[in-house]
Amino acid sequence: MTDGPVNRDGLVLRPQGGGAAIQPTAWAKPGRISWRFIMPKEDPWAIVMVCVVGLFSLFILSIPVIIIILSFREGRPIDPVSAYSFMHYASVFTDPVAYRALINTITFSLVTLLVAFVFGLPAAWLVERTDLPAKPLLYTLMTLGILLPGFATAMGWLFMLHPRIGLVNVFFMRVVGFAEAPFNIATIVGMGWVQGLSLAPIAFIMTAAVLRAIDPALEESAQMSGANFFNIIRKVTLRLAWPGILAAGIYILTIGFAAFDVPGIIGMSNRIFTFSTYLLTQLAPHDDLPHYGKAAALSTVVMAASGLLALWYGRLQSQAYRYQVVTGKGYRPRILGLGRYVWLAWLFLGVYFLLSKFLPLLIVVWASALPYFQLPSENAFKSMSWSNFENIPWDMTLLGLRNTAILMVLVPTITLACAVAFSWVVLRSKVPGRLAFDFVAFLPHAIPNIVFGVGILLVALFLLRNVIPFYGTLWILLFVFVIGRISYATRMTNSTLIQVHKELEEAATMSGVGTGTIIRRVLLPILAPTMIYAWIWMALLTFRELTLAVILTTKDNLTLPVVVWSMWSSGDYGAASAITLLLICLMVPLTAFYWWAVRKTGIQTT
Amino acid sequence: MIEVEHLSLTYHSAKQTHLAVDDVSFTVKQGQFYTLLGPSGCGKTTTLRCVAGLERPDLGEIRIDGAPVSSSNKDVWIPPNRRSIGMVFQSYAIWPHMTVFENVAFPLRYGVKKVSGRDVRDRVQKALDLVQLGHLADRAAPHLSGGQQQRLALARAFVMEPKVLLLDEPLSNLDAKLREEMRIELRHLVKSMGVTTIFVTHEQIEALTLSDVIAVMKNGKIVQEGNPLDIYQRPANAFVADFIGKSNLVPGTVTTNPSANGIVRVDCAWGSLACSAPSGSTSGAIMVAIRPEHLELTPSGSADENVLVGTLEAAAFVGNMTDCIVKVGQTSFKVQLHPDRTPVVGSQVSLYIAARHCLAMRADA
Ligand SMILES: Nc1ncnc2c1ncn2[C@@H]1O[C@H](COP(=O)(O)OP(=O)(O)OP(=O)(O)O)[C@@H](O)[C@H]1O
Ligand SMILES: [Mg+2]
Repeated sequence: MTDGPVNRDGLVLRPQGGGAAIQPTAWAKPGRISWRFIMPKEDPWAIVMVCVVGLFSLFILSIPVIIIILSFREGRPIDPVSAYSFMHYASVFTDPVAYRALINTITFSLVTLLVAFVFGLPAAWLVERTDLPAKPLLYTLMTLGILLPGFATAMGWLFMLHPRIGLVNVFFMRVVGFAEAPFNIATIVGMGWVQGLSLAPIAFIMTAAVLRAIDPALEESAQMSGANFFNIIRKVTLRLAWPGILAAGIYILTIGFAAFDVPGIIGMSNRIFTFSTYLLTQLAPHDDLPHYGKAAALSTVVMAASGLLALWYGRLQSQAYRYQVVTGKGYRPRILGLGRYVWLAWLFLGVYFLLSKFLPLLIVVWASALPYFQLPSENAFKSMSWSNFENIPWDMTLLGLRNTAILMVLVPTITLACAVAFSWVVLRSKVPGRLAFDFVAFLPHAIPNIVFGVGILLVALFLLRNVIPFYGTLWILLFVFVIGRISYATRMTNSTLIQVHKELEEAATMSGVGTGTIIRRVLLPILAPTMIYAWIWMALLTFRELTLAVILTTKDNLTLPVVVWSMWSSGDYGAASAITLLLICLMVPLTAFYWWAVRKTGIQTT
Repeated sequence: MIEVEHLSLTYHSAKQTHLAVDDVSFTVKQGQFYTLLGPSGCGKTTTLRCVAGLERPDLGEIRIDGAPVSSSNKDVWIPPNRRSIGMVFQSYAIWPHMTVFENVAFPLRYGVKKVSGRDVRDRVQKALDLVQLGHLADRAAPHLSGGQQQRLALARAFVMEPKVLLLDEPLSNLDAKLREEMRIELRHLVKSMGVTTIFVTHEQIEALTLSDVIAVMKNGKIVQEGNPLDIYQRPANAFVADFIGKSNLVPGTVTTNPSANGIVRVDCAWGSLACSAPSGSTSGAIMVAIRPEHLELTPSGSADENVLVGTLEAAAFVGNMTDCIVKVGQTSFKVQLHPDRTPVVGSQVSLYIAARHCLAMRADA
């Protein structure tokens, strides 16, 4: 999940090359940096925060490093001595399945991007540049759309377009009389379609922010010089928005690289692998020992690819903001009257929501009510029952629910606490090299989360095995979830802290208080609205998080989405659907709370 | 008392370094109202923040009441929250999530010198009454007007009864009329508290009306220090002459030795002037500073009077006077005349000025 200001601040705060390079000059020898100035010893909270940030950064940094080391290490990771070579890389690129998976990942990401743009861009344009009614509603639906778990819609689409049991296919074969199934969702393109539908809101939110930032005077002057509607869009609007749109595209590509829900639900059972699902087969093969070295090599390849994308993204973002002729205040965007065509806009948006949310969900409901999956018919309606719900393995589900609930409270809380410490150190402290911490906090955003999952798995299994045995506990999930969310959280706290005038804190210092009191009594109350908003958002994302959990769970630290996953992988589609519905129902009150918080605090997600 | 000695501070950023405060020394006596005056970017705020402890100087020593709070030689560093300094910020820095009362009570409740509950009430009320905000104690702080916020910031700075008060352009956010009222009130308040005060401003009028002592800064250095009258009447160099009030600055060369009463003759582009040389710049190339209000249409008859003959080029009526431009030779002079006595534009005028109002000074700062 990302949005406008987050990216913007990511840019503003990213170290701009050598920020910490202090050059002594001939005419004024700078006094040596005294730690008493940076962190006076009467100020324990400053010290605590710097330590937390330092330790946390070390952890984050160590993960890619360990992955890279293990990717070169021959033999098993536990072997005390071992040679180093390109063996694992060779095995990645020579193993046809692994190679296929990499190619699949690229195709999958591109299709995802295409679909997300086809729906997201026009929707953004409709909201920002036309007189479409009920815009806030559209924003809300789009934002909430991000929350719907990817595995739920993936199930729905599989039930619809599975070559054998898919409702639509069965309909065409039995009722219309096709010889074979006309659709097959269990393909790379099919999975890209489903993933793209679920990422369209991100394309929407990001491009809407870009469009909003373009001064309409530029479009108006094009109009005054006689350009027609399509030329204005093509030559002016799109031109100006291009860096921003491209940046959104790269961001979506990065998500596509590491997406797990859709390829997991649809692809795995049909033996079509992408990076993330193939990674899982290497870490937990059914019939073999785990191939940690190969997984590490594969992760390194993807890390490198997404690192390059992130670099490009960063450059585009700075370009986007250089281009931007923002006046910020007092301009009204040029609004196009839709007139008679407003129904077309609604049709378009309606089709999107139907395809991406309502149809798949409806079918999951249908599936959960049937003992086995079948076309709607008199018979089917007769056989509807609660039996799937009754047969839910409650001990597992309740354990998952308990774990998920714990994580849902702890993850946002700890993440925000760390994020405040990060922002404070980067923006307010005088610690030398503080900008580097901001870069570290940005890393989990640039590197796919699943890679962090793999890294922590390796750390837990091999490095900390005898020191802190936290593999298989809830704490390892807590830890990796916090890392996975830290980029988002620091972007949020950074962007609010930047808006808080520094003098508010300095006034408190001059009143004789230390950092702890400043944070408690001045900063936190001022940051509260953003914090509440970010807390709920992260809680919701934690609630439905499958990817990171799947890599790290054992039977003891199951989360609710993992219960769904294991039901699904064992072929119990009815129970999987039932638990998914349960999960979505549990999300409703929280989502309502989120909505309330957004309205109350007036924070826009864009 | 505040003593600042050889204070230097350099800002470092990615691409460049900037010497913001360059070997600044000054002393503020007990109870004195001391003003740092200078154009934007000259390092006033930075100097003030060094005294507060919000910046760490590279070099130099700062003592408050004789005790060093920051010293590069002795490696002394007292953090800002332990210096017992009251400060009013340019933005006022009123905490928006608190009421007026809570804002003022903050230093007493959480500060280094904590005060018990009952005393908090009393002292806050006293401080609020002092700035005439007593009746607004329970109002949410953002709901105050600009002037009220400014007084609230003062009350918050006063409430700890600090040894030293630092004011960073406290009047700059107010509109013109309110600023004038608050100017008088501010001096009155500070003087009634008897607190040693450093005041930062770039408005000469504020500096002249409020201060006991003014230090004029330029490029991180103090270029002149003195009481307001001194600074105005005897600017040490062309920069001060022009920055404090307006001056006509004319380059010239001293041609005679000073006479018994300190008068020298200076050759300028269009002729020779009798000038006084207050700061001893009595030889070589100099600047002559002439205030527009000192040029008169009628001779006063004093012995050392200069006469400038020129053409009235333009005149703008601004109420209590007329701003005129008179061209003497190739040089344009700003002149202020009485509206009733302003000749028609284009006519020939003779301007008279006493030698003591023609100030010869070094051209450089
Ligand atoms: N944090 C900083 N990093 C780098 N340079 C700075 C920083 N703060 C101030 N400067 C520079 O130091 C110089 C002095 O700044 P200072 O704020 O002291 O000026 P000032 O005299 O208070 O000006 P003003 O009247 O505009 O407030 C300026 O040129 C400014 O650009
Ligand atoms: Mg300033």
